[in-house]
Amino acid sequence: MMDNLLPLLTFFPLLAAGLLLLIPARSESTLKTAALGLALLEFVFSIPLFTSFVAEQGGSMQFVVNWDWIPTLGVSFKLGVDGISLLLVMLTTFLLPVTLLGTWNAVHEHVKGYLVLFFLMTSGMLGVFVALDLFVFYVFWELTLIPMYFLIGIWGGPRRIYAAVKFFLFTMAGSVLMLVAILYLYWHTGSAGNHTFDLATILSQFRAGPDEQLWLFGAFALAFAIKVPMFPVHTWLPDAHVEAPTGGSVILAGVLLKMGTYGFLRFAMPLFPSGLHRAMPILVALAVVGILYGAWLSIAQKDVKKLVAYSSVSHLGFVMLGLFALTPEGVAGAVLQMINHGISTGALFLAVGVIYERRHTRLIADFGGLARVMPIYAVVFMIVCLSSIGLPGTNGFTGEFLILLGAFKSFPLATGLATTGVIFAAVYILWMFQRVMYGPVSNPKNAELPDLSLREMAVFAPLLVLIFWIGIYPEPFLSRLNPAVDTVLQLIQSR
Amino acid sequence: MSESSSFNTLSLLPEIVLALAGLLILMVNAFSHDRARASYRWIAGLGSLVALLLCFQPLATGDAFMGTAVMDGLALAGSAVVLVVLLLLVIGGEDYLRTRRVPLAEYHSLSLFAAVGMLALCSAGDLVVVFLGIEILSISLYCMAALLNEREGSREAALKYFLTGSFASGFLLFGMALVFGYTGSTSLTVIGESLQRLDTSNWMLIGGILLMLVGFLFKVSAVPFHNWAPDVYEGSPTVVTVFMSTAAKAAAFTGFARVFVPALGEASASWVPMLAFCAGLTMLVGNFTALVQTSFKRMLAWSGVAHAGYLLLGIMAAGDNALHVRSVLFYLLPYALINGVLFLLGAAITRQRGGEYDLDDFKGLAADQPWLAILMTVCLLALAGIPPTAGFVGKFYLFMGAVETGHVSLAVLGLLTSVVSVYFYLRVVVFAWFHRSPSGKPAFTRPDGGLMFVTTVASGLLLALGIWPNLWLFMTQNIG
Repeated sequence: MMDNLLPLLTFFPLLAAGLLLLIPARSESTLKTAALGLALLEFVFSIPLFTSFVAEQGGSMQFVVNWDWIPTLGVSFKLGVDGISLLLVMLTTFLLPVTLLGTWNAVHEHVKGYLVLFFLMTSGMLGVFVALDLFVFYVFWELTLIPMYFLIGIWGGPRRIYAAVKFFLFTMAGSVLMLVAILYLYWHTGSAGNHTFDLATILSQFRAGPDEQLWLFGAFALAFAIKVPMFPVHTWLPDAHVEAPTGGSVILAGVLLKMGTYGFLRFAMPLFPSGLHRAMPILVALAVVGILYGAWLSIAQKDVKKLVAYSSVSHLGFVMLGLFALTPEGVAGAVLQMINHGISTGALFLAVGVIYERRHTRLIADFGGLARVMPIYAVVFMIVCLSSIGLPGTNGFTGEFLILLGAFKSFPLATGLATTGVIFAAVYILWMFQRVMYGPVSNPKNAELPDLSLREMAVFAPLLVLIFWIGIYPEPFLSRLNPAVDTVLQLIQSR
Repeated sequence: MSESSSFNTLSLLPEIVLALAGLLILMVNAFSHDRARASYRWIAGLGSLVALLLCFQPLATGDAFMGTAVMDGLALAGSAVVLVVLLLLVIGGEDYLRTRRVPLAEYHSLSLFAAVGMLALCSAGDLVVVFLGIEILSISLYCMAALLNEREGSREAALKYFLTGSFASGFLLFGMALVFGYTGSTSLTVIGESLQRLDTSNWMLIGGILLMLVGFLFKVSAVPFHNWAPDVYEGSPTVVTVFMSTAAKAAAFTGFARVFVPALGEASASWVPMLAFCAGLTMLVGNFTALVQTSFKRMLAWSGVAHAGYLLLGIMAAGDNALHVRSVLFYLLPYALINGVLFLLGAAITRQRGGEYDLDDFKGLAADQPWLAILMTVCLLALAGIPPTAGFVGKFYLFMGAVETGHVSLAVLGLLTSVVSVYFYLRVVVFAWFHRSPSGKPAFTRPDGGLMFVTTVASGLLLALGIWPNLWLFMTQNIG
């Protein structure tokens, strides 16, 4: 079973979706319970992946499977994980049950379809993180689009159709150019009869001139930059986030965006190092602009969910800055921050969902003094907010610290500017927290709000554990991560 | 050599069976009363099923009639697509035929005769047979377009198709004459061989090639010879539209590949740039015009123009490397299935709302009939080329050829225009899933069983071929 752990993890959600289809649509609670059970099972399956992963060999691919898929086209179904993909897989399987439990009462219409789409998307995301064949990667990449499109379009807010179509078109537009680049790689690797989409083979055999590299890098980078999303192709994100149902937002911010940053690290950067170096000044500038612009827009938001959405643009700017630093600290910090952002922003969206479910509004002005009414919620929300700012002792600090440390070596000026983003983050988060939580309970509708239920506490508990675990003792994560980061950096330098 | 000099009639059994079935329907119609109406469907269905099975009999391979017919992988795959569409229509078209009062005997026999022409075109080894095949299929289709002759649109479609189609045939024939004049033969093999010796930049040859190109571009509805298609598709009875846009197109593309790749491949320098230009234009015009359509049928018609552009990429790539014929062939089956399902379901669904194929009429479909909405969605996603559908593998394969033969910019253009196409395909999905039924409109009901059956099977096949493309790649393996 250990040999086939990755296919099992990737396809189990698909199987789960099939099982859910068998349950009658009317029995809502059965559906939800079954979905939660299946999601927990998926998480349990993923635990051996983490525990039997050999940390010292984190730089090489483990649990590799390599099956024939379309031999006539040189496509093989090749999966594997190194330290980087391992953490992202764990993040995905962890967030799935948490999200389902957290949004237990959020959806009452077409519950079956909602859950089935959720599991479909999970399969797609896991496939993206473990694929070692470019064709397989592309198929999974596109596969994540369809469920999210329907999640936003059917269960979303008032402007859901606009947001869903925009999301779809933006992502499509980015990925088709990547497809051309993949085809180009295919024809320029190997000789007639044994062309291949295999990533390792392409990495070892493909050589391109500087201009060629720049074009190919551009095609890959655009696809990933849209997904991240980097400034100025980020405009789909706030729309998608605001309109998506809570569960969709959590997965979108928690996992889906990481496909972009992961893509940079796994494909665009090692495949085309000289293209990367030539595009570097622009990319770094865009990352810094993203950090500051996202933070400034967050300050101006009146809607909590929008605020969190724009803060994602800012946070992912940090991740990009860390990646482009090309130093061990910077890249490791960036990967860790991908995980941290998944946990913290996921938790933030869930926290916003808690008050939205009670009041059906997300406007900051509608709240005030909630800390008096919902003390437990206030504590949880506070911790999540602090981790998002990057307070020492929380996960956000470890990641941001490593990123800034690594980035400072490579580009001090840009890093200096980016650091002000940390300050702005404190401004928008704390100011929001103050207006929502402190002061008198000015709106009588807020006076009787119930505090967190047991279910909700069970949702936040594992998230808080991880926030402190990574904040205080990140070693188990970094030890798996560092060898992989070194390998990728060596790959970039050696080519 | 011994085989090519024989008459090997067995390899033409599929054509013979189809022709006999068509004649039988005419006979039954002439000598019996109304009660026999149900039998037409059975005869047509049985005929096409037997023909389909006969395609796969071992005797069906090799040359026949002194090389004028060639039953190779290309012919086999093209014929299989035609016959699958025929079956799809026999099973799924019944409801449409009954409610719109299409004359049954005429419809079924003409479709069988058209299929004979298509099969002949698919297996042609000689320019004369190419022309014969095209004329048999065209003349049948001209008549079929007019089957709803009390409707003005149908009459207009038939006349328009007939007039423009005749011109195109004229061009084609003139081009064939020039090529014959230069090479001294109408046999595709001999033409191919003699072009290896002869000067391929001769004006007579190039003139002939260009004239034939005009004829074929018309038949596959590529820009700038595409303008007939949306009007004819819209005016014709929908079952006929399905036939034109899928089977006829598949046959035309197979014929296109037959003539241009083995015979004129040597002279590819003269026609590939031309074709590249037309392919680019076709993708642009088709997709951008489809973007502004409000009628489902017209939208599909323009999307058909756009897809002709994608398929031309395959022919173009095959001009440089004959292996890429396979990519054209691979795409024809999913393309035929998708369009077959979409036209048939579209007709059944919009009719319930009393509209004339308005996109608006899809509103609220998912709430009333989720299964229908799922089928539509699978097909639309496949048409947009999104995995894991066969539409994705098909497009992937086509663009792969373009990239390999150095037409990277065309592949980029093709992919960018497919992003445009995603918008209008998704519009139907948006209406079906994200909108509620407008008040006062009747709820959707399930169409008849035959239609549900074939559309479900076809959509399942689209997914299966997307996940295991080898099922069909294997068929097209020994081509080229």
